[in-house]
Amino acid sequence: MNKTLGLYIHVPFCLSKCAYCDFYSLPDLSKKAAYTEALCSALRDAQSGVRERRVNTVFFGGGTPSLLENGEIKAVMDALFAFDLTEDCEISMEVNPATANEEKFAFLHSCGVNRISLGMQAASQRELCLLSRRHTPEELEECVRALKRAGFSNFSLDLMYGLPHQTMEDWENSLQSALAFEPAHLSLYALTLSERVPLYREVQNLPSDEECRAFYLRAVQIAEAHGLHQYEISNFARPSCSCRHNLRYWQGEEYLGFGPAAASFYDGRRFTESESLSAFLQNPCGLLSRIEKEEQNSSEDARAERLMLSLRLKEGVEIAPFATPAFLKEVQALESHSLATCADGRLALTPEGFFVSNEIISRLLLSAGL
Amino acid sequence: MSVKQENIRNFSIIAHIDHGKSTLADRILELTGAVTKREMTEQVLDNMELERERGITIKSRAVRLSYKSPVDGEEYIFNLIDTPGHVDFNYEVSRSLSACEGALLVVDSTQGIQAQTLANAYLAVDEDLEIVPVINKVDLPAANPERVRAEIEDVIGIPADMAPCISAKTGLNVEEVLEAVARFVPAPKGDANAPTKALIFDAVYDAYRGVIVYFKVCDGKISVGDQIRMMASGTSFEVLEVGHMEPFGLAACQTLSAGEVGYLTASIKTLADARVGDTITFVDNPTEEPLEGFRAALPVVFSGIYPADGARYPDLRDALEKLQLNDAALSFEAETSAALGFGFRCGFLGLLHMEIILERLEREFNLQLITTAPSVIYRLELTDGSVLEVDNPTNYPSADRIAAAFEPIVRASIITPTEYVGGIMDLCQDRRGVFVDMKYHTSDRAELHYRLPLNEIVYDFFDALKSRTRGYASFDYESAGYEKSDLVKLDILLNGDLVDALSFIVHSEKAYARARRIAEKLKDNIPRQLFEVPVQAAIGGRVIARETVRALRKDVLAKCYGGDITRKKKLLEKQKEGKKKMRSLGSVEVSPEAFMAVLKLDE
Repeated sequence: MNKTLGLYIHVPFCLSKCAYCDFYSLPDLSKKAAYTEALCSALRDAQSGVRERRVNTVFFGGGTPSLLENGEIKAVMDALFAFDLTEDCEISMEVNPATANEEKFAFLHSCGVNRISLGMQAASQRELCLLSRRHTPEELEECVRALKRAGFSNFSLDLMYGLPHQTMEDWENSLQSALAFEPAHLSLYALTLSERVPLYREVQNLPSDEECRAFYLRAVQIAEAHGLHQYEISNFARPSCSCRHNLRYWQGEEYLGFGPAAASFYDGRRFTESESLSAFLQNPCGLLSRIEKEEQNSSEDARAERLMLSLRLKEGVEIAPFATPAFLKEVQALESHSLATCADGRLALTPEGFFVSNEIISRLLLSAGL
Repeated sequence: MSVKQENIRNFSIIAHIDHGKSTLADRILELTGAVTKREMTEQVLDNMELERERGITIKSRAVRLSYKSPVDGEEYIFNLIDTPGHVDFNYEVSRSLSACEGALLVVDSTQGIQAQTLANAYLAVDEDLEIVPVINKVDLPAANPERVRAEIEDVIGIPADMAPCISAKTGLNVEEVLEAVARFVPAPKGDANAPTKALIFDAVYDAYRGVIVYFKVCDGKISVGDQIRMMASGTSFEVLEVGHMEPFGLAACQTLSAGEVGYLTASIKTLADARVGDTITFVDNPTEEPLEGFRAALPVVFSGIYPADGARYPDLRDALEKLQLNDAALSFEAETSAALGFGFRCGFLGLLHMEIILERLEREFNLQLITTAPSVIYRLELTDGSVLEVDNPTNYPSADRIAAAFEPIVRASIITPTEYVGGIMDLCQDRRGVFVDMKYHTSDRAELHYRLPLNEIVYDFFDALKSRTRGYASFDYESAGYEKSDLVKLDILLNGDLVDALSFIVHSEKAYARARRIAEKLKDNIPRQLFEVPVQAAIGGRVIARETVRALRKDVLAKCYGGDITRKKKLLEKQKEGKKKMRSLGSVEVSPEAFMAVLKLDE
């Protein structure tokens, strides 16, 4: 029993859709009970099929997991505890500040949730309104106090940059407000608008790429100064507070995803459930056999994945498995332009490099013949 | 069927593009019963897909028809010899015409005489042909046949009072055209008993029979089994087959005599052995003098052609070889560009010829191509006294080795509604044109003559002319020798590296403007790279224009939700595939589209 496994649970409900959000969720809570029941069946079904793996991370994402009633959460946790969990299993839940109070946090804590990821997004009321978030800055502050009182020391705050009309001052203000809450972890996301979301059609005055880059580099600087070290493109943490579930995505470790649109990586196969709640309700069980039908990654695929996933991490990737002459030439060029560093046989992107990582990674893949 | 020489009529139809040449040919085929209306779903004489789409004839063909005149009751043999309709193929047109005794000059009654009407009419006059004017499209509301009749008389100087007024589209009065051919086109001269002398006016390559030679017997006879000699190429063959051209194929016979038009096969392996304009005679008892007018078709426009996907180089070579089988005027040789890899330096008769070849390569052989800016042949007198001809900027010597440079000049004629004269003058001026004269055909239409450097029209002159005259002007040109010129070679450097494929030769006065323009275009078309890229245009070592492609600043998928790697993988895969199509110009990646955009200088 040497492998570990992560479990991801997608809760596809929200009070309302945020104007920028392209993730699968429904602003209709009527199917919540049915969903919970289906989810528990799905978990039990998978649990009976999982062999030789201990679960060491669980992540509730969404949607808005904190919309689940206490009873529903309890049922899901019971189904989870049927898996072989490690002593120190990290159990994270995303929480929308508009949906939680001290009592809720206390309940989550008592159930075994040990890490909270709070969707702060921005500090100012103006920016929160623009993103159609339902909480106010005051509610956020109250929320953070409540979670601390409930016993959570390991919590993360999410912030977004590159918002319409955002200035460097606005952004620094958001960062400083977030850091004042002394989180163990920060996730900083650039606003990326898919054509499918309402904000895509409405927005004007988005900061330029140049400005976004400046926001990003400034954030790295400020976070580091507060002892939050960058460990991934968008994530920062105090020592030993990195999100282990997040890391597993990039380190090529296994995870099973439950619920509509949830992604899995298991037994060398990748699989994503369809974006349909009704499909999930009709057929919640059989995740492992659905995964089984996917083709296993070839060794080439696996190498390409390793390169692209590892380079999202601060620790980077081992150079030796990819070292064609063309690859080494690319690496040299990246280094000479301070987009990457090489040390101890590993290639790692700098913050400047992270911000153009798609371009870098596609060049590297090509040069490595992958 | 024996043919009375005095009842043979060999003729062509000449016209400006779109004036109805092919449609009239169709009607003639129908009326003579060679083709039924049902078979006439396609224009029979133009049988290449590209020709049909462009409405032009690229390779000439001929067809033999019989006509019984209702007027004199005689049986006539008509040999309708089709001609290519564009200036690039002037030589081939002239050889086709030289096989005829008469030509139908078709003029669109809504448009009047256009540049190619005149160019073709002059060619016909040069060959001493009887010109029979035909006024077409009289069924259209905008038709003005009387004005066009007067114009033909004034501008070309031939009587037009008997010209049939027809609609080739509806068939109206087309029978008058047939009768006019019988009446006015002279019978071929020539002595069937003299030593054999025949003119090759076309040849095509057939995979089974070798080259099929189309010819007219001027004197003597040609029969199966004869030993023939091509006088210019000096090669000899035994005739395996002779015959006539029918609308849907070849009809073999035993002998063709003076005045007749037909084909022969003789196990001829390459078009180079049966060149258009060459004279066929017998190995024994040859004619003393070959026919006048032969010259090898020489390319005047050159361009580097590269496969967008370097791996398809062998496919490109095969495709060019196949095209060359049927197009002796296409020349190519392998060349290598540091920027574009392996490709070919190709020579063309002119711009249209180049466009046609490129389009056929892309369409028939499914190749995506990158082409370099077209070049003409420059003649250089070097300081060591030698003379050098250069058609590739890469081979252009450094300025200190050149004593004098000469560039090819053309005499251009442009016929236009008078309202566009100002715009055309601006354009010609801008292209270093020298005004020669201007004549009015009618009060609202004029003919301008300019001397223009060929290198100023090889790229986008047609397009520029079209856009300035809303398509109403017509253009034609003929070679007018070489003139001394102040030429420089302009080099483009990306990231400090010379990009050979972007070098071009330009007049020194225009170098700065062109340099700035091309630098801007590169800046706008090169995608942002990981690093800043300086773009420089230089003459010799001197940089005369500079731009910078700014560095890429943001290209990141910040959020990758719930471990959905597949979406990210697809994105990167797409990005990577896009890169595969890119060409590295030095350390800079440029898509084939961007490369081509840079070459299009006119907005």
